[in-house]
Formats: sequence, C-alpha cells, structure tokens
Amino acid sequence: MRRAGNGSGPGPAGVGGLAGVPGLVANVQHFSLHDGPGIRTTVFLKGCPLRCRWCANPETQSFRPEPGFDRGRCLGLKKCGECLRACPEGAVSAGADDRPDLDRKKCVRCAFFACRNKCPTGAWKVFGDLMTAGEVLEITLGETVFHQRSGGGLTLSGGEPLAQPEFSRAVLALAGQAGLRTAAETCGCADFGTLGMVAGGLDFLYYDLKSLDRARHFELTGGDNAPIVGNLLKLRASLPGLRLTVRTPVIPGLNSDEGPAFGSFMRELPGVGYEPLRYHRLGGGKYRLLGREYGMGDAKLGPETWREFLEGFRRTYGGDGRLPDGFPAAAAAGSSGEKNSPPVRH
Amino acid sequence: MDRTVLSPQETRLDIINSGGPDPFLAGRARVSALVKNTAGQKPVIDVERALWFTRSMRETEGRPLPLRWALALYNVAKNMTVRLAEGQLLLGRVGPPGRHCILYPELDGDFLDLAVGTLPDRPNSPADISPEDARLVIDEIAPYWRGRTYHEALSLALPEDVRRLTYADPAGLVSRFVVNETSSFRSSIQWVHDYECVLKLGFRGLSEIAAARLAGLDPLDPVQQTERRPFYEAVLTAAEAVRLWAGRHADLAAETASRESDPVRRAELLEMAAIARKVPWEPAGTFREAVQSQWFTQLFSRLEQKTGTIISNGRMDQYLYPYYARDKELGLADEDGALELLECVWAGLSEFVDLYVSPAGGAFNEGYAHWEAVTVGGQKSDGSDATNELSHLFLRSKREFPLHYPDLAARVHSRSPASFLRDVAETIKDGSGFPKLINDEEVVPLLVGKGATFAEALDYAVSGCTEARMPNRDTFTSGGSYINFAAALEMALRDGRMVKYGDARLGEATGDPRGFKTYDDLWEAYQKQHVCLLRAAFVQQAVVNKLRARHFAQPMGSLLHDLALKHGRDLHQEHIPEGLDFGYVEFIGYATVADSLAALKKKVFEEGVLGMAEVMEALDHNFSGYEKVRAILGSAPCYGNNDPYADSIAKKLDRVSVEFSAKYAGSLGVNLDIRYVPFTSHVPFGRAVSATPNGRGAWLPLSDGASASQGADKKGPAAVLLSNFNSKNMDLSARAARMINIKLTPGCLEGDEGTEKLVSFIRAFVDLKLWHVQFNVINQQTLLAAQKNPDKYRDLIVRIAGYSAYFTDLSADLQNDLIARSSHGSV
Ligand code: SF4
Ligand code: SF4
Repeated sequence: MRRAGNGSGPGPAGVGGLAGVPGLVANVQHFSLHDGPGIRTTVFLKGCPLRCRWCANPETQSFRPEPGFDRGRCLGLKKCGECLRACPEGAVSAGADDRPDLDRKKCVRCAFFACRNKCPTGAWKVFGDLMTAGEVLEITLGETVFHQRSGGGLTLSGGEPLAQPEFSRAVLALAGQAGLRTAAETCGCADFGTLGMVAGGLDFLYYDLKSLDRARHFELTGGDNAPIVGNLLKLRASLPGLRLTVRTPVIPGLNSDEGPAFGSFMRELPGVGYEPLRYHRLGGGKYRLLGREYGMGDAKLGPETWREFLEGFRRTYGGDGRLPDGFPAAAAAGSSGEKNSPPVRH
Repeated sequence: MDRTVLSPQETRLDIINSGGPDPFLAGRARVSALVKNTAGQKPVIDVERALWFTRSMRETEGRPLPLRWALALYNVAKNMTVRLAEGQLLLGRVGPPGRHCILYPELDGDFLDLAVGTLPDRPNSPADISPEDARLVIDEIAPYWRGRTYHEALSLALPEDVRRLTYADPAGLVSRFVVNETSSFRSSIQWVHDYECVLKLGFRGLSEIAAARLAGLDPLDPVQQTERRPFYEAVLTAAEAVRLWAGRHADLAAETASRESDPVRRAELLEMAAIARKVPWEPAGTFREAVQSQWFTQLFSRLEQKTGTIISNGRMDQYLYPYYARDKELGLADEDGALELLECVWAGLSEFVDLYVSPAGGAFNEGYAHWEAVTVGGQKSDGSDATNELSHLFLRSKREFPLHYPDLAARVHSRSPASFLRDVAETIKDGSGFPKLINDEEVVPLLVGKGATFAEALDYAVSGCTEARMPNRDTFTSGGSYINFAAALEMALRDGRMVKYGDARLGEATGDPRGFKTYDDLWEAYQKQHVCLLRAAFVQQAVVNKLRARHFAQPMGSLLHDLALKHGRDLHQEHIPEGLDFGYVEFIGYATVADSLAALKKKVFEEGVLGMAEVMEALDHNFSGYEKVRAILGSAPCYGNNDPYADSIAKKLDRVSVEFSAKYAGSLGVNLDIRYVPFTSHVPFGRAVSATPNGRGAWLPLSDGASASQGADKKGPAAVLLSNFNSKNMDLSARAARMINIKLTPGCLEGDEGTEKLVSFIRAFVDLKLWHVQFNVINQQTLLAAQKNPDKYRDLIVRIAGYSAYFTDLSADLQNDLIARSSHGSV
C-alpha cells in the first residue's frame, strides 16, 4: 500500500478536487474474490461505530492509526532493537523474550511512525494510512483488466465506509468516472442522509445485520439496531435499483438461534439477497498484534448449529423453496444440506 | 482455519484413506485394471531397443546416417519382443508390463555402463534394471558407443571458455549449472508430428510420395544421388519398419485370441488384430483405427529417438474429430466408448517413463517428467473457434482419469466460448493442475512475426511444456541452453567468481563490489556477467546446431514432415529450405535476480541503510548472524506484486536478453527466443548459487519460471500476472513462453461462483497476452501431510512446471519449494 505523507498531510479537499480527498485506510486487498461480484480490489477503511465481539478486522475499528506488533516477525532486541531506539516517546521498551513492549498510553502515533519505519522485518505495522481518493483509484485501476473481465470492481469495506462519507463519496465518484463498478460493505449504522449519499454511487451493497433482537444487538455490538433496520427498509424503498444483499455472521451461542427470525424478516424484502456467514476465528491473531483480548474465547461454530440456522431460515422464509440470492447452495439442495456441497473439514 | 474446502482430488484421497472405494474405479473395470500398478511404481529399464539398435549400427558404419538409422529401426522392429497388455484395447508398447523405460545409447552410451549401477538408487527419478540386462549394457552396448556419442563430441567441440561454464569436469559428465546445454539429454527438442497425415494417407500414402520423389531425382546429379537418394531410401525403410512392427502386433493379437477362452476378449483381440493389419500403413477409417494409428506412430517415434520428455500428441481434438463424428453418426461410436478408448491411450502413456540417464537430465526433469501434451481448443486455421465435442470429452477424461496423464493443454483465445472455459475451469479445480493454458493471443502474432503464415500459426499445437509447434513448418530440433542468471549475479558480486567453484574465475572481472558507488556501477557489472553467459549460450548453440546432424537422424519423423520430404533432408540437418527454426534460451532465476538488484538498489544505493561491505559479509555468512541485514534486504520491493520498482528492473533484464537474441540469433540463421521455462532446473541451479541479496539462502532453489520468488508475492495472483505483463518488452519479438505457476487453495474457487471467477481470471490472462499459465489447486495442509505420510498420498498430483507429477516422487527440496510457494488463500 502506498503511504501518503503522514507528516505533510494532504492538501485541503478542494485543491485536488475529488482526487485530493483524504481518508484513513487500513488495508487494500488485491484479487479479492469474496467481497462482491467478480474479482475486486477491496479498500478497508479505518474506523467503525460498532464494536462487535467477534470482529474479524479489529484493526479497522478505531478511527485513529494504531501500531500493531507481530512478535513472530521480530528479530529480537539484541540482534536489532531499532524500534526501541527510534521511538521518540519512549513508548517502546524492552519486554520479555528479548522482544519490545509497547505502552499504548505513551504512544502518540508520531510522525512517520518511527517504530514501523525503522523496523526491517515488518514486525511493526501501522493500521491506518492516510491516502487520497486519487491514490486509491490509481491502485485499483492498475488491476482493472481483472475487474473488467469478471464483472468485478472496487469494494469499499471497513471499518465502516459510512463513517468517512466524504472520502467514500469521492472514491466512488472517481470510480464512476473511470467506468469501474463499485460495491460497499456497511453495517448501516449512520444517519440515512449519509447512507443514501454513499449508496447512490454504488452498483452493489452488502448490508450487515447482526441480530434482529434489539437488546441482544446492543449487547453484541454496542449499538442500537433500530436505526440500522430502519435505514435498510428506507434504502430499499428509495433506491430500488440498487443490488442489495443482507449478511449475517452466524456466531455460536450469540445469534445462531435467529435463523427463523431472519427468514421471516427477509421474506418481507423480496429481491434482496441474503448471505449468512459462517463464524470463523481468523481475526483472532490480529487481536494479539493490537495487544487486545479476543472476546470470543475458543468458541466454534459446529456444523449442526450452522445447519440449524440455515434450516430455520428456510422454514420461515417461504414455502415455495426459492431462496434469496447468496444463500448457500448446499442448504438449498435438501434437508441433509451436505449432499452437493464440497466436503468440509473441521 | 477451521473450515477447509477440499478439491475433488483431495476428496478422492480422503475417501480412499478412510478405507472407502475409489470413486473413479466404479464402472471402469478395464481401465482400473490397466492403471492399478502404475502409481508410485519404480520403473524398469528395458534394453531391447538399445540392443537391436546398436547391433545394426555396428554393421552399417560408414553409410549415410539417415539410412543407418532407418536400418537400425528396422532391426528393432523386426526383433524386439512384442507384447500386449491384458485388457488393453490398443496394440503397441515398447517395454515389459508396468512402468518401463528404454535406453538411447547414441546419447549417453559412453557412461551408460557406469550409470546402470547408480540408476536404481539415485534420488531423482530412479529406475531398476535386471542383472542380465545390466550385463548387456556393460558388455555389449556401452563399449560400442564409447567414443561415438554425441555428448562426447560436444564436450570436445566446445571452446574452452564456454566449456568451463558448461561442465565442471574434463569428461563433460558433471554439469556446471551455470550455462547448461540440454542437447545431450535428448536427440530432439520437444516435438509434435503431423499425425493427421498418417491418419489420412497412412504410411503407404506417405511412402508413395517419397518413392515418387526418389524416382524424380536426377540420376546424373552427384549431390542428389549421394544425399537425397539415401534420405528417401531411409524414410521408405522406416515406413516399412513401422509396417512390420504393427504387423507383428497383429500376429500376436491373433495368436493370443486363439488361446483366449473368454469369448468377449477373444472378439476384442481379433478386432485389434484386424485394425493393426490395416493401420498405420493404410489410412484410418474409423475412430478406433485413427486412435490405433496415432498410437503406433507416437510409440514408434519413441523407438526412433529420444524426444525431450516424450513426443507430443498434437491437436487430438481436431484430427480425431472427423472420425469420431462419422462413427457417431453411423452409430459405431458413443461418448463412453470413446472415453474408454482414450483412457486406454492414457494408460499406455502412463506406463512409459522417459528416462534421463545423465544426472543433470534427471535433476532438470524430476518426478519422471513427461510432456506428451494433448492440445484441445484454440482456433482453426481460418481463425474460427476450434472447440468441439471431443475437446469437452478430453476435459472430462482428465477430471476422471486417476493418473496424471495425459499432459493436457488448452489453447485459449479472446473468443473461447464460455462453455469451454467453464469446463476448463472445472477441470483445473479438480486440483491436478490440468489443463495448462496457452494463449493464442500471444502465440499466433509471434509466430506470424517470425515468418509463419496466419493459417499455419493459427493451427499450432502445444508441444511439451509450453512450446508451440507448427508440425510442417518448424524445422529446428536442437535442445537449447539454460542460463543460470543468479550465477551472473553472484559473479557480479564476486568479481567473476562463485563461492561453489572457489578461486576459478568463470565470468568477467568486474571488480570488488565494495567499490560500487552507484546502482549504475552494480548494474554495469551485472550486465557484463549477464552478457558473458548469453554469449556462452549462443556459442554453445552454434556448436550444437552443426554437430547434431552428424550424430542423429529421424527418418520416420522426416517422412511425416512436408518440408523434409520435399527437400529430401533429414529433420536433424542444420537448415531445411523454407523451414522456420524456433530455438530457445532459458532464463533461470528471473525473480531471484530482479529482487536482488531491487534490494541493493533500494537499501544500499538509495536509502543507504546498508553498505555493500555489510551486504557481502552477510552473504558470505549465508545470513547467519546477519538476520537484520537479511530482513532489511527482504523488505525491498519484489517482482510479482505489480510494483513498478521491481518490475522495471525485471523488464530491463528481459530487454538485455531479448536485444542480444535479436542481434545474434540471426547470425546463426535461427530464432533463439528468450524463455522463462525452468522445468525443475531452478532447483539444481539453485544448488550452485550461494546466498543472494534478495534474502534467499545459499543453495536453495531459485525462483521458478516467470513466477515471483518463493513467498514474495504478497498481492495475489492477479499481481503476478500484471508483473509479467509489465516486465515484457512488447516492442521486441525474440521472446517465447513465460511459465507462470499459480497456486490456489480450493476454497477460493468454491462452487459455481468460484468457477466463474476462475473463468474471468483466465479471460484477463488472455487479455494480458501472456503465453502460459497453470494452477495448483491444493491445500498447504495436504502437501504437508503428504510429506509426512508419503505412503498415504502416493497419488497426490501436483503441478510442478510444465507438467504434473506425483508429489511423493519429488525430492525433499522440490517438495519444500512447492510448499513455500505462496498459496493464495481466499480469506
Ligand atoms: S508510533 Fe511513534 S510514538 Fe508510537 S510507538 Fe511507534 S514510534 Fe513510538
Ligand atoms: S525494529 Fe522490528 S525487528 Fe527490530 S527489534 Fe524492533 S520489532 Fe524487532
């Protein structure tokens, strides 16, 4: 990823027009196959209003850049020690096993992130680089031969694209000018004006809905689902042409009993896709990088629970057997659910 | 990862490992019996071909070589034991039951007696030989050839400065692994015959053409009488040899039938006998006859000479189609019957192992390499799409047949139908790495640019790993040079020396690298070494091209070639009028060199965080105790990430090579195009090169083909293709294949959606005008498990280079290399 001058800072939004609008980007994923139609370039923005306990991208939650530390990549202080010497704030100290320790309270996210810049191994990462909309576009267009052939394009993800509306809008407008197809992934947690503005520039939207139970939603995500659900319904009404897919991460013991509830909910939204996502623990390692605790312990989503969710959904969604776009094909095949699906190893 | 999607191949292994029945075998009794003993079996060497060939050659000394060759083949055809495999529908094999190989003493007879002792136990591609056969080799075959082989002549003929870069010993038996010749591993570069002319005319029709040419010679012209006459006599003799050989098989089948108690098999044998009495001498009439005719032809061409890693099968879906369509219409053939017959061909193919006797040959072609490329798809010579029913049938067979045969290549172009590409993608997803893809949009314009007509270029067949051949226009048969450019890099850092070879200066004197002030100084030193190796390769080729006509002939192959037949010259002659000569020089270690130069440019000459002295110290210690230096170097931009910094260096490396070829290939009168196709040579080449500045440890494999360095591609397979595009010099034409390996986990291609994504990936590859791409669809865990429990994973197939092989047949080095190649997950 390109690192826009953290020290000099970008010019005012007006100077470069849309191309100059700055945003905080956690990561750009190339050759992304699962964030919308076709082959895509996915831009993960930094900052999210919710705090889901299972979040697989915890590095995108905070609205500020933050250093992360990967112990496994560090050469050890005796052999190297560059970061220790580089930190102007004394936030990096000698820790156990000859590895540095970070005192996050002391870290001021100094200019150029001295710890990262001096580290030869990439053990230090900084999640959150300032990039301009123009830079994001340039990277994306460099891969466009793949987008064109696959019906793919650019996906804004997060974090929460709606939490950086100016930037998201600028990227989408530039993408539109360049003839790129666009998609976004949102948790829907914003005022409707913002959602409408961003969604207006999209060809495809993934809309995450974690629980239909208001109290539970609050408990799981730290946010109220009433505006999220409200926004979804309003959006459906105001932009009927937008391809929309609702997604629910199925989390063992937290919302895995809500299959029937989601089935009846989605039944009222004909033409909207629905994609349940199997809980996975892949984000777990990142919590360690950030010096945080993973809130999910070692919970696992068993095949039974997953099947129950899918079957519950199907029961209430409708009797004619037609399932929404994006719903796992295996479950549609029959009650065994596994017959036609590729084998799964646990 | 708590959820893993398995490829069908992995699923099959899982079922078998948990005691279940092999899903392939159900309903395929015949083919299952044929393939039962092939997987994982150590091949046996059969000496008959070598013996009868040698005995004839001994008697014909002094006569014109093509004629001697034809007489030797006739002797083989007459005396070699003919055998038929139980249950086979096809007649013709060149060795005993099971996996077998044959010997070509004209290549390596001088050390064959020593080699037979070591072959059974060598680590790369071993083979067994019976004590009686070993005695024949030691007492009769090797003694005749000593002093007469091509390989001895080459070793003597190379100028000393080039010789030093080629061999590490006086006898020319030990490779230097700097500028390797491959012309002594095989008598011909990978080749495709015009099988269609055999099906249409039969050897009889071809003989009539040759006889007419012979009759038309001017009886008073001394050149015609001494050069052309023996050539035509040779091709006529070769045709008779084929006829005799097929006839002996027919006799055997008839005789076996008379003793057969099962009436079904008896009828089969009688039909086989009848077919073999007809083809390949007469034109084929039915699909069954066409397949048998082609099979005899390719088998006999194995007896004729060693074509690098087995002769290719050409555009099978094209030349067999008329017969299939006709039979189907007449109700004589159906899909299942055709499938069974084709699987009999694959079973037959799988029993033959192309043995490389020389250690270098074995190391270059690990895992019993075979590139009998069956081409499907592509365009017809009028430019329309060529896909037909058989193209799909071949793909289906590829998915269902359990061995890694045949080596299947799909030609793709900008209008390849979606149904074909979807079928191709489904087959790739099966996980055995097939088919490999060759792109018409790159190949056809390059062939036309080098002198082919559009009709010829559009009808090319994939040959071997990645070559494109026009069977009646290509006339170049010499094996090419492989250049270890990582060695050039090492020499640029060590004043022309290499750690492995001590004080001997192999390259140019370019001074102490600690004195390099700028990147330009480094580049200049590197370029000198680079050009020094290119020069050696081209000199090698000049010697090779002249020498080979004196050592090899291929009368049968020449009979099948329009130009050879027209001009009365054996295909091994240096130049054939109207012919197009496409030779290759292999660039090995592309990303290793590009990444190393990028690392030094960035970290030493631009950022100044390291000094050359420090880097050299670290390299001298193989980074041990210098982990920080290694890490700093490793953090520089790498080729394969669509990063202009590294890609522009790679482009310059390509440019220097292509420009050299543009300038000097012409003086040899041939095309010597720059290619990036290592087979498995990046492993032995790596063993010659000490630590490199991209952080690669000493003696480890170099980067593979035009792929990124192992583990250096961080941005996914799209970026690997883009880097290849970025680093090509589209304004110049002295280029050929870039081999690109992409490893994907089955998870990223799950379901119909995954298939569609792979299809669009392929379409983008076509748009980018890259020559070749192939996929490994496998889980890292599967590879690790197979390494731990080889017995459980004997038939795990992985794609290595231009071919796929059993994972467990590979050396530990190569296994680790495959595991280390970044696997592009889907997370
Ligand atoms: S970002 Fe700057 S202040 Fe924070 S730990 Fe790194 S070097 Fe210290
Ligand atoms: S700079 Fe990086 S490698 Fe060096 S001690 Fe710090 S974390 Fe470890």
